[in-house]
Amino acid sequence: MEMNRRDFAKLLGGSLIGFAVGGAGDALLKIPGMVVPLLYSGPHVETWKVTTCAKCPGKCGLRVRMIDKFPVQAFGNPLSPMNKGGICPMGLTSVENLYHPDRLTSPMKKVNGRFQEISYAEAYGILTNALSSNGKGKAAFVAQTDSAFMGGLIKQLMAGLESEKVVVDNFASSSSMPFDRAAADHPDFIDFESCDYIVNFGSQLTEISESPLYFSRSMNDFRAKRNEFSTFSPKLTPDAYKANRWVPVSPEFYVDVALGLAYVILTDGTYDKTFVGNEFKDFDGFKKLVMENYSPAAVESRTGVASKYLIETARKFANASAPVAYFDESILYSSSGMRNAYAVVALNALKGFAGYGKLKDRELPDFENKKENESPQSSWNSRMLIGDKDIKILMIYRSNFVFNSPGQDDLRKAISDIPMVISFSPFIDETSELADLIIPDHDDLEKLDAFSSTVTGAPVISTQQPVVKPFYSTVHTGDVIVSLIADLKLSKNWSCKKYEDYLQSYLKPVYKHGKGMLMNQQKPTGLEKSLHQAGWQMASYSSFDEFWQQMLKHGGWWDPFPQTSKYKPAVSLTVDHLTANGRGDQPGKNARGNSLKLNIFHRNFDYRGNMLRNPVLTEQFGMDKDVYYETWIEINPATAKRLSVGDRTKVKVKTGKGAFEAFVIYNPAVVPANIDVPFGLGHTASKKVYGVNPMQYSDAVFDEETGKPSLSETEVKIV
Amino acid sequence: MPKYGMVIDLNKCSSCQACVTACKIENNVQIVSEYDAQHGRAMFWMKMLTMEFEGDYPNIRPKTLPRNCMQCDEPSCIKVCPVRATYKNEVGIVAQIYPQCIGCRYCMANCPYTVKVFNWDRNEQPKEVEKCYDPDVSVRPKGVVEKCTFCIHRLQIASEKAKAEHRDMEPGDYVPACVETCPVDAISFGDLDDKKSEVSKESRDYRSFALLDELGTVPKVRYLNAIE
Repeated sequence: MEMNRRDFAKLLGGSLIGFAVGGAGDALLKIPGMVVPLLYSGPHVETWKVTTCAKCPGKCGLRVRMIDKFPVQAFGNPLSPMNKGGICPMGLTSVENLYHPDRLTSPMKKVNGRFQEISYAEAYGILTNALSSNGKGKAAFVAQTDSAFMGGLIKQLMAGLESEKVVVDNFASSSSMPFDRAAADHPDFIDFESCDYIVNFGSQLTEISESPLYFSRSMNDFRAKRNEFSTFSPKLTPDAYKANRWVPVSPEFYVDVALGLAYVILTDGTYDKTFVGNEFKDFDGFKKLVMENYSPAAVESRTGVASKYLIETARKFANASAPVAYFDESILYSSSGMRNAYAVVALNALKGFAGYGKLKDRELPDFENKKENESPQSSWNSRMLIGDKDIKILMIYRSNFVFNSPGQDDLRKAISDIPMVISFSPFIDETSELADLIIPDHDDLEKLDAFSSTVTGAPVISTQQPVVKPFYSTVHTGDVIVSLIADLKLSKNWSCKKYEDYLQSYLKPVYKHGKGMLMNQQKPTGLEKSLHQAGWQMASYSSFDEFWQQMLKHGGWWDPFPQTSKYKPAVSLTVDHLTANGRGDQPGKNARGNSLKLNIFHRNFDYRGNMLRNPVLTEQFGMDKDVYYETWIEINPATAKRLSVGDRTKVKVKTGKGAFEAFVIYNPAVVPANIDVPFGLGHTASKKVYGVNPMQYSDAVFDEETGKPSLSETEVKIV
Repeated sequence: MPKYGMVIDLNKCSSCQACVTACKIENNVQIVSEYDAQHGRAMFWMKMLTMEFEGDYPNIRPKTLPRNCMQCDEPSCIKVCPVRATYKNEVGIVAQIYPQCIGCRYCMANCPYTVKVFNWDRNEQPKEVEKCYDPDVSVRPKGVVEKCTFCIHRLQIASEKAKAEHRDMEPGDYVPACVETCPVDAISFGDLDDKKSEVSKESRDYRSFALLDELGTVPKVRYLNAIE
């Protein structure tokens, strides 16, 4: 429809007359759709709101640019101690999800295999009926959230439902779990003030970690002080570019490498004898195991890691005054996942965990309360859905675990056998498409939550405030769960009416505690520091409500001058922790042979398989390789020539699970025995499918203790 | 008049590509179709390049660098533009006048850094991207050449704000989106003629180098070599 200025003026005049009639404007005038945006477009007033990015475990502060109260762009919050103004590609594209046309706009019920929109009242009725009739002891919950508060609430719901079948996929708690199990406590941070050597086991510190942006800055400062770090990993990722030494090794051998390093330290006698004597419970058993099985020569024969690197690294580690052997959740992604982590904990114990720090608990009442929620006590994981006939109800919160896991057909079958599957996903993804009922959660920019972190060496609570009112009939999953606990009477003395009440109950001790500051100024220095420590604050508050409002307004709270101590736990590792049943049982039996292995790697554009619905990120995913919208493999040119595979050609990659097509990129830094393939593409639930999901072609190999899938133990051929 | 320039410290750069994303979003750079992207027509004003690999496996490292328009002081692109659609303004920014561009692409051919991109088509943009358009930047039509402008719209906003506040512009009032976003402060930006400015000091650092310096284009984007 064409419209000139005269017509528009007439229509505008008509509209005004219509409105003047008083409330009858809408009824009297049918305003053409194309004019509505003109009438409602505002004066383009710019405002800013502060919130927290929830796209990865980093908890970065965001400044959201609003034009006429609608978000258009997101930048980093310079006053957040986590990211200090920087932001990563995922954070930058935060606003896109809000406007995504694939967002679910109301609850959906599956009828005859197709989703139909229903009201929230109806959806909530179905959920409460199902839980009250079939919930107790028969429910399971799979969640993915980096909010320990939300995770705690989910566990509280499941405790009320008398079920231990709950897994909250939380990067920080997965990373600290091996410490908690081996030493009943975990370190809060790397003490970069004193740490002078780091051995990193597979963590992508600057890309996917507890705080990629904090680690990016810290590692630059660490290197600027001429400190060294070595990385053992299966791929030379941007994090490993900066390492003084990168040693390629497959993740299932981290246990061998860590214990090989321990062998050298034990042989040299350079370990902390006092700490080990007092705190390492079964040190003699540990020493015997290491000395019998993990000489550098034996480790080299199994892992391919040269003895000279092991000896050199071990001596640097031992001679450093405050070394750290670092790992995070990524170490668990192999068949020897927890054994890897325990071996690295033991390696740290040999030097008394000298490079790690701990916040004093008394300074942190909120964290003290939250501890029970942070560490998963249950050993249940989503793989255990397979073959479990007792589960009658499965709830899923923001976890696309079907997409993230090998053996997807088994998982799909297991889920389809469960009578009632409820998803809280804001989108239809590979997991939520299997649900019977979807109660979509708000977008991150519409919801309220909080995130805690100690990774910077200071207690930080970042708040996620709704920067815009919900666009659609979506519901905060936290509100749904709070209502469920109340309506089904699942907890005694439950007084929360909404998720905000629950969050506030955790954050009241922070207010009472009285210390720390809001994220409304840079870390005080000089005179300002003294004033601050004496109780002076830029933003003052006289009640909890005021404190809460200020926290939301400024993006959070933190204590810039916390009391810290060294992390010195009692280690109760035994030989059983370091040896396993089944695959990889005996040292020397798990060498890789000559076959090529598929090595699935992560990039900082996707996390947990739920990000690449952003068009900007999808386009940029392979930009540095000049590959767009398709899956590529990276191969060492020497291997490629042996296999007669040309650079930038298309090949078929075959595993035991099938074959997929991929674009070949020569990369001389790829391990010659590996074919590297990126994780993130291949979402079949979206309208347009780009590339393939390598998990679909990966063997169903898992870490027994955690159920985390192996990303690098699938044999592969190029055909 | 200031002379704006940029120094990118490769020792600090973590290759995270946040600068690439920030640039794309800030400047409403078009997301081209799948076909166009796979045929060399993807549009990025800032790109992360892997220049070469140093050393032999396993002691090997890629040399990566973010590359935008070099904002040359002697730009070869403006010399060949038949319609003066690209020009160097009074603060040294090589700018583009999109309505004036006739799409001949001479400037692209003459740019030794291959940083200019051409709008081969006007692809329908995803709805979620259109909603996030930066209202300060115009969307370019099909058939014109575009490139990094040091986020010149930010300079305009900053200078108007300073004028409204009856003061001169101060360092930090105006920074491009990539500089604001960089998580590790690897990109310095400011007046190269101000000898006290960080960017000026860094541009004279012993580690400083420019791409294809020998061509005499006098790039105002310089790099600091990584320390081994």
